[in-house]
Amino acid sequence: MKTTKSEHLKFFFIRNAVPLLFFTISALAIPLSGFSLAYLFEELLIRLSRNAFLVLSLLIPILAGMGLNFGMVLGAMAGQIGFIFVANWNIVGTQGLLLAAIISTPIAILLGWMCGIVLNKARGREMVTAFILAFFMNGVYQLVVLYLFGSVVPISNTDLVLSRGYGIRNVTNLEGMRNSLDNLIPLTLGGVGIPLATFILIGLLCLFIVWFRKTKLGQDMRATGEDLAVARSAGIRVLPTRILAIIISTVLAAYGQIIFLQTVGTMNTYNSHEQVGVFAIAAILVGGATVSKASITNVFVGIILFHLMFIVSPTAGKVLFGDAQVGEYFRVFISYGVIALALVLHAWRRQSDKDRARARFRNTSSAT
Amino acid sequence: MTMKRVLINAALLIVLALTILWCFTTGKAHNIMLENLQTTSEGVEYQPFEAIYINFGNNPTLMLEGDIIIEQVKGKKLSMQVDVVDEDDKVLETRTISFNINEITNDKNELRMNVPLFYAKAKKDTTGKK
Repeated sequence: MKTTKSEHLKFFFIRNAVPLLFFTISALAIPLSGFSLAYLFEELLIRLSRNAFLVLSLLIPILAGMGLNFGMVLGAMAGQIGFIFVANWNIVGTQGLLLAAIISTPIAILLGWMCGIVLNKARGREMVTAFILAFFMNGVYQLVVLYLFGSVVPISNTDLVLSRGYGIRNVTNLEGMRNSLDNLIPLTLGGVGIPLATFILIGLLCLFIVWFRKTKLGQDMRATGEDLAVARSAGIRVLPTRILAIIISTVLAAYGQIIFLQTVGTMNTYNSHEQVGVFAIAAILVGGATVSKASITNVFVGIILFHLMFIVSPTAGKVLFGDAQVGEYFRVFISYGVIALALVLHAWRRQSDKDRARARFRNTSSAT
Repeated sequence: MTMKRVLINAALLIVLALTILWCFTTGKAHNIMLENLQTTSEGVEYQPFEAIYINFGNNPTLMLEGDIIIEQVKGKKLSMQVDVVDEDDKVLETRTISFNINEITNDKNELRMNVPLFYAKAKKDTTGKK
């Protein structure tokens, strides 16, 4: 069965519906917002350096066929625990970031391993399971940070502890570590500060992902992602491979959260990690990724389009409706809406692919 | 596990431990109390400066006679540039004071430094610029 040109065009639009929609909305909103291109470029550069590591951490579970890892929130929690310890010991600068990463690594491995085991028990429903697991672990995190820190876990820095003597305050000050990675290699081009060290790290992670896909483990993950039964019959230990994919993603998410928070300079102890998963997943979907396929290009295109929308929508909302809050509501609506849209499109596409394959099979069998 | 594997793991552990140690020693922040006050040491009297700029490598801070300020610094081995200025903010003399955090820790475990005293001990900086 031959596909016509119009069908090709139709499939192109269907496959790229989300990025095209975002591109159109942004193209309309940019002139309305009145922001200069230089300002938008600078803002996007900061947001790209802040979010790229987090979004890149989603790629490996997609490769292993585990969908979008909503469990990356667990990694973000690990990163924040690392920060609490570092703030307690009063370690600042890049040394503080490095130490936070070292502390968060075993915690992220443990949480990732637990998440992987749970997701192996819920094969086929990984995303919703990870989403709920993140809620559950959020409760555990709050219990640990609110009750055990300062009582069981010694916290000597009185600025961190609540007045009752245990539990960490709502806001953890990371002023001593603020932009310490971004400013590690100072570079200014045309008056715009470039966070070169952060981009080098992001570049190294991209290289790691490219290299990892070619390794034996990467190939095993790809095979596991394509068909679990076939991969198992080929001798691949599918369940441990899936657990490894989640562990790697969780550890990378912990590092990503550390990079994100050092740019911000303060940490909302009980909330900073909550939206990480949703925003990172929305960004990668906006970039044209699907639940089963994603690339490094999707990550960067997604962050640029998604955050462009974030920058321009409040001002555009103000111009259109006289209220910046409308733009704020709009971008929150867009974040959740795009995830829903991508999931619906994925299900619909899978169904239409199945129908087309069935139709093709019928045609070939009737011809013979 | 082969012997080679054990050795590699041990080496990695040592590198990790050294990295943690390095982070603790060079990354720990300290609050130092700097005072521009008159002091006497070993029978010698040191007078406070009328105005000085002190700089730990970031932003210079102005200290007037009688000032006591708290500065946050990073690491154990520190270097502080002191610019003595006149009333027009013109630099009269510059000296760089290098010290270890242990040198300024007193009996009460406070980090306290009398700038005129340490300034007198430091060598004149011929390259220092304001």
